[in-house]
Amino acid sequence: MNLHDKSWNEHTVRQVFSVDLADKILHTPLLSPVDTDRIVWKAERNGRYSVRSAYRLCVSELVDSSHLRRPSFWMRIWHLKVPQKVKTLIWRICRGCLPMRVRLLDKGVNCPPNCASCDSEYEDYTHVFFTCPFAIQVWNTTDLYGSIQHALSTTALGIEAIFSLLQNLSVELSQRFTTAIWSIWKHRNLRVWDDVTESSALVVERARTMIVDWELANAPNATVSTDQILSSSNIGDGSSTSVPHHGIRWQHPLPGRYKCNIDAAFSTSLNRTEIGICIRELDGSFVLARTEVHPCLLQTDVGEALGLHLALQ
Amino acid sequence: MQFDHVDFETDSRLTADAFHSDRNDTSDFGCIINSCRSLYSSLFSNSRVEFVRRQANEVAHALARDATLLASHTVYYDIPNCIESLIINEML
Repeated sequence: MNLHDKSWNEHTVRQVFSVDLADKILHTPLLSPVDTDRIVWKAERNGRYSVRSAYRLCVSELVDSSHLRRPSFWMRIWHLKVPQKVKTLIWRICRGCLPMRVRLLDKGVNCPPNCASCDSEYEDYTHVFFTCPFAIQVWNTTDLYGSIQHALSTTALGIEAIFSLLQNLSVELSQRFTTAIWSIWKHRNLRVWDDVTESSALVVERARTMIVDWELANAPNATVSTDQILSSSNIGDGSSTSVPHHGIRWQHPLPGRYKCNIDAAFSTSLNRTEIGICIRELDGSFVLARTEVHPCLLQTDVGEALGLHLALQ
Repeated sequence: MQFDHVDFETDSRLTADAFHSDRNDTSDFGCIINSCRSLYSSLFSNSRVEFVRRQANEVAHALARDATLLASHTVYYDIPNCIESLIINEML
């Protein structure tokens, strides 16, 4: 290490260590505020050992969970504008953990294998939600039959069809689609457990009421959150000249005070971390600004903390 | 040298919270925060470190973004181009 400017002595490091090790060493950031060498436990944010983090590390390294991972657009499920119970049901369907009769038989549960509604085919995901005559009635009433047929014909599994639909349907149609799925499953359970037979019109109506109730209950909050998403995406786009059209904006300092704003930016492509600092006074006029560049990509929290450190200096 | 009456604003909740808590943390982040606290208490009086929302921190954000193009650190005594319109907007 070069002590005068706290940087790695690249020449020596490369001479002593193998290429991959030297690369790792040279990529370790040397930050000026960090002045003592310490042993740090990397699996915990605060650097101290804990059994919990060690357990997690062991489980993630030793137990192969890759067969459980399904790459798909899971976030689309959680972003749906429907009641939580509907999202959970869709997630369970896509995860393959709904107690369908076909699955129950797999597990050794003694039950008939056929669909509770039409009794002519095995009760599995694709049948109950898409190809059962009862489901088809529901999709016809909700004007979704065409989209569903299309999704089923372009994908191999019912689950993939759900993801494809969530990706292609508008917000309103995915609301209609997912609440109807919930309502169909409700219909199936009522039939199996309570011996109640509902008409498809009732199933559609329940789904529709559910959306209306949800929208009523979420009306004020929903507008605020879309507003925030809009303005933050403006900033992300770099269209920095646009003034946010709602309440949050920079506040002038009180008389006699200065205000110092700090931020860090992280550039993956250039492998750099940049810090920006700007000082302004009462009327919002400019006093001083400073930028600094670190030639490595730091963790977000470390970068932001360094920004504060630089500002205090 | 002592400075008075400065309000520091960061849009990192984690940084602001860590600064005000007295938890000890042995990671790099913790070291930097410790160092921030000692600088703050020795150099500043009657000042504050606060969290603000991203929307209120646009000038610093634009500066940091713009620094991507620069070689190393820069000090501006006049308004840099990249934040001129933002500053004027926020003066209103």
